Amino acid sequence: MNIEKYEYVSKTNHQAFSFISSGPNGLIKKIVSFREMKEWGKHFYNLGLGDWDEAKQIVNDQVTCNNGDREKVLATVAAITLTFSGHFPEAFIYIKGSTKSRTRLYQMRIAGYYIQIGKIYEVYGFRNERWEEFRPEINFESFLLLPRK
Amino acid sequence: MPATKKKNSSKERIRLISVRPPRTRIDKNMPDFNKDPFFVKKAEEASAFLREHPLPEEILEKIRGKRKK
Repeated sequence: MNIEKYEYVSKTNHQAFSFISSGPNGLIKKIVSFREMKEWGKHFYNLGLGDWDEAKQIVNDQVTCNNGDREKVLATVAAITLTFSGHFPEAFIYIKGSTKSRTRLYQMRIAGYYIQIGKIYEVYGFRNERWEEFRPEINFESFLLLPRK
Repeated sequence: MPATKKKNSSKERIRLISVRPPRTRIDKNMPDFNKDPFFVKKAEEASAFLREHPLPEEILEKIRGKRKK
């Protein structure tokens, strides 16, 4: 699968990235964050995706953004995750969308890239009050990526 | 004439290409977005979720196993 992606830049510590979404609603800066969750271990990270609100100088997901580039944005997030894993090969990554629809989008992308992702990570999903191995045809509420040895 | 061993088979090259991180431009002036309240809150919500829905022992062992190194 070779979907077009946006160019992105990284912070020097490779734990935050940004790229510009371009479309009918103009240019919107997207931020991808890998924030450490130290209580769960040295290498445990939460993946977050937000929009930079230039007027308020904060990150949020309340910025109306319908640039019609959903697939390109998700492909860029996937590429960023790959870049991050290259710098942090022992990192565990927890992923949950801020809304059910966003989680569903992540689900679809993980399912779409499952063969490639599966070479690097074991993937688990949470549903019905329990964690289980990810299956592309099942809808999960959140996801956990464990690096393969 | 002795047979020469290929350094990287095509499978190995594909593996390296697929896992090697692409070149990324570094923005030295990028703010520390990870400290933005939005991402702090998201991480706190994630922690709360994981406390309420503990990971199975088999996954925790893998995490602990990584920590022991």
